[in-house]
Amino acid sequence: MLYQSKIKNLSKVQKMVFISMLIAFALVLGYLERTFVPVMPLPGVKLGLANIITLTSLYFLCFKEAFLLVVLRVTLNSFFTGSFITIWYSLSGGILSLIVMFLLIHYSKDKVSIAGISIIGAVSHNIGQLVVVAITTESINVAAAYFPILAVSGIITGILIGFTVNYLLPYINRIFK
Amino acid sequence: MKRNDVKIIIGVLIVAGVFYLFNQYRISKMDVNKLYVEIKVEGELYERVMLSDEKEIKIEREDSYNIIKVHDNGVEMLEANCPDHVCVRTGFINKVGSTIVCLPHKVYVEIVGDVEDGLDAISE
Repeated sequence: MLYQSKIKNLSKVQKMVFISMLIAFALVLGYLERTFVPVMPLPGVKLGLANIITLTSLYFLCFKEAFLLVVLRVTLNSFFTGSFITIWYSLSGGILSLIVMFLLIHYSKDKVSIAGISIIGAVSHNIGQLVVVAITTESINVAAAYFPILAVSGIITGILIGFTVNYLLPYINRIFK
Repeated sequence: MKRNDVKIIIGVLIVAGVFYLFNQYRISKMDVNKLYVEIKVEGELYERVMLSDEKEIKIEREDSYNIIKVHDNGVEMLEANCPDHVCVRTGFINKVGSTIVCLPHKVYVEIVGDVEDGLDAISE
C-alpha cells in the first residue's frame, strides 16, 4: 500500500505500540462522539469518528492487523459504554465496513479517492448493523425503513471523514521518518 | 473528489431511493382508518394496541425495562434504561409506518394499519 513500505521496517514492539496508539485514538474519538449524540438531528445517526482510525489503519497495516484493531476497538468500547448488548451491532458494522474498504483500496487502485472509500465504508457499516436488526426482528421492514436515512447521513459523514483522513495520513506518515 | 466518487454517491442514493419507495409502497397498502401500535420484542409480537387508545405499557425483562405510552393518536417511549437512549430521543410519533427502535433491548414499536394483500405475509 501507499505507506506500507515504511512500516515493514518497524520491530514487533514498535508495531504493537503503533496499533495500541490507534486503538487509543479510536476510543477517545468514540467518547467524543457520544458527547455529540444529543445534538444529532435524527435518532441513530452519528458521525462515525472511529472510522477515521479504521480507514487510516488500512493504509498502514495489513488486513490481519486492521481486523485485530477493529475487534479490539469495538470490544474495549463496550467496556466504556458499559453495555455488551450492542456489541453485535458494532461488530457486524465494523467488520463489514473494514472488509469492503480493504477490497476497495486494493482493487480500485487510484480510481476512487479517500472520500469515496469512506462513503462506502460508512454505508456498509450501516448495512452491517441493519442486517443484525433484520435478523433480530425476523423481518426486513424496520431495517428497510431506516436504510434511506442512514444512507444519506452516511454519505455526508463519509465525505467529512474522508477529507479528515486525507489530511491525517501525511502527518502519521511523518512518524516513520 | 473524483468522478467515481460521484458515481458511488449516486449509486447509494439510488439504492436508498428504492428502499424508500418500497417502504412507501408498504405504507400505502395499509388501512389508514384503523391504526394500531405494534410492539415487538426480539421479533415476537408483544402487544398490539389501538392507536386511539390511551395506555402505558411497561416491558420488563431481567434488568432491562422500556416504558411506552400510547396517547393522543400517537405513541412515544417515555423511559428506558438502555445505554444510548436513541429510542427515547425519537420522541412522539403519530404517522403510519413510523417506528421507534431500541436496539440494545431489541424493542421495536411501529404504527401500522391493516393489510389485506400478500406482500406483508412474504416480507414478514
